[in-house]
Amino acid sequence: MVTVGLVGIGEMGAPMARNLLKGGYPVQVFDIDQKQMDILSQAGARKSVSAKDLASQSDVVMTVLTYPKVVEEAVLGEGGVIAGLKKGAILIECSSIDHETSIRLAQKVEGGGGRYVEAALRGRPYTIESKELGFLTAGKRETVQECEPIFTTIGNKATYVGDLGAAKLLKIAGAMLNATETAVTYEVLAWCMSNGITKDGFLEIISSRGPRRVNQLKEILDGRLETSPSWVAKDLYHGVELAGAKEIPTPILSTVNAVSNMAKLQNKEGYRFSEMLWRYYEGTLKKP
Amino acid sequence: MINIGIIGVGHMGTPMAKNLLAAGYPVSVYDIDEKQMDNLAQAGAKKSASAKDLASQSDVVLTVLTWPNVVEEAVLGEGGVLAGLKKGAMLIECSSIDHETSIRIGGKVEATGCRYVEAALMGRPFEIEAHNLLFLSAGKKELVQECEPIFLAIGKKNLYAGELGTAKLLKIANAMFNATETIITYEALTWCLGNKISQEGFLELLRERRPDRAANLERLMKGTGLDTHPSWTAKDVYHGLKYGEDKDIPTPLLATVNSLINLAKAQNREGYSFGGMMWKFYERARKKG
Repeated sequence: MVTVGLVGIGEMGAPMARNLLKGGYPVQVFDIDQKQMDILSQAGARKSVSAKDLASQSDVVMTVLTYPKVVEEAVLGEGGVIAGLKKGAILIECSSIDHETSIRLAQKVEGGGGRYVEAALRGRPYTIESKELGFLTAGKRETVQECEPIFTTIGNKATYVGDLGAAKLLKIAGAMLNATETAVTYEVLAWCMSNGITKDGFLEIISSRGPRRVNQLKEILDGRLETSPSWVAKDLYHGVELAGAKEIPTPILSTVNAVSNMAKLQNKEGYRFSEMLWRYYEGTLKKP
Repeated sequence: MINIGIIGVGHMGTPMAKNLLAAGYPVSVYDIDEKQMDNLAQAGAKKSASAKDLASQSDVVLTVLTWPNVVEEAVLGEGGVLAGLKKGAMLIECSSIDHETSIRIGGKVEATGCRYVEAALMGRPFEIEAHNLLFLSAGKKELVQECEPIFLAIGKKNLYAGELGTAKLLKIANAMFNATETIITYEALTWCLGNKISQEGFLELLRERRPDRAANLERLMKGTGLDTHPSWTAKDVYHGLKYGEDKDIPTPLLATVNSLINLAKAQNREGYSFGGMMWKFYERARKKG
């Protein structure tokens, strides 16, 4: 059986390692957090002293990290994955990074004689525990197919979405759907309020569109506004930019992006995307 | 059992009348289209000579018509509903009319000692046939409650929206949502294909968020989702935009949606319903990807 090495065993990586162990795979782990490694070693994983060390003993390496910078350091840095990766071994990159970083990493990995698969995780830690995680995968199809048993040992489904970059780009598509749904929700809400429709009536219409949106809307209508950072606006802009470069007509997204920019001008409080848009549309309501 | 009269037995009125007949109600019908009346007469309905004639024999009258001026003529005109409606009888207005017309008609009906309930039909003809129609209703709550058995004989559910005018407005709000969500789905798919992301990848993304929309999209991808059933989404969006303009409500997104609908309409020679029309509209851009 192939040996799988996991670099990054935090909220996502740890349950992934456990599912692999349960599936009978020999598992190597590396994390800067020694405690996490100790916990997993009790479950049967082998600790490594560095990403390089881990790579040198693995047939497949999975990076499950946070930001592009962290991933680049763990893969390309001194003592990183590439420094130890065996010829023909596969790196499956599972972190939240953009498609450009992913493509750059792939080139370096392949330049060093390794192989590269891009993956995006669709789920949360508890979804991994219940073995319901979905993978979106991209890259060379035959390499992705070779990894299939690993994906279905960790989760329940892997969907091949296209060439390198495609799995990470889908995140942008998700953000664009989010942004548009959010914008139209508040635009129609402001329309309803200006026309004397009660919030309850409006909630009836929203309720057929999923509980997630109802809850979000209730919080905002109750005045509970969050200021946590969000990447929706950035992803939206990035998406429109890519569409421009490829001449893909996106009239709706371009409008949403313009509305988002107008709302940003007024967002002195630093609200996250949905709050920011609501404050923007709320400002258009005529006070009685 | 009370007598029900239906004025307007077209795409929507006909299956509504059939459901009422199936539930055992005595039903009178009136339409300027004699053939439609004949069809329903064979199913057990009674034909009337005019809206007035129909109203004089009904306890509850439903108007299921098209445009505000048509409804006003049928209700307020000579030989119209009000000329025949019995004291205490009820008019349930179900047409695609604006809230202001509805409120005006409601006032006139009540002034003559009759009662008025506003309804909006949230569904299409085949959904009425399948008994899946959703009613939004507005007006005095106790009157709406009295109509509940009729709503449930025709459809599956009735939601009380609030005071007079709100059912018509909410239907438009719902159409504005539907239109925007439909278009953004096709646009985001186009974006994905242009960026070399597979159909299946996008479907997976959509499934997690809105399984209903993902299922619709899958049918369209397979070429089985196009239909020419009548739909009123485009008309409702236009009305919504117009009410916004009248009140200086800024709706940048809906204005764009409405423009796209108009562009798509110009190409819709096949007469596809809203979803199919917008699907075709993005087709060229999709195929380029």
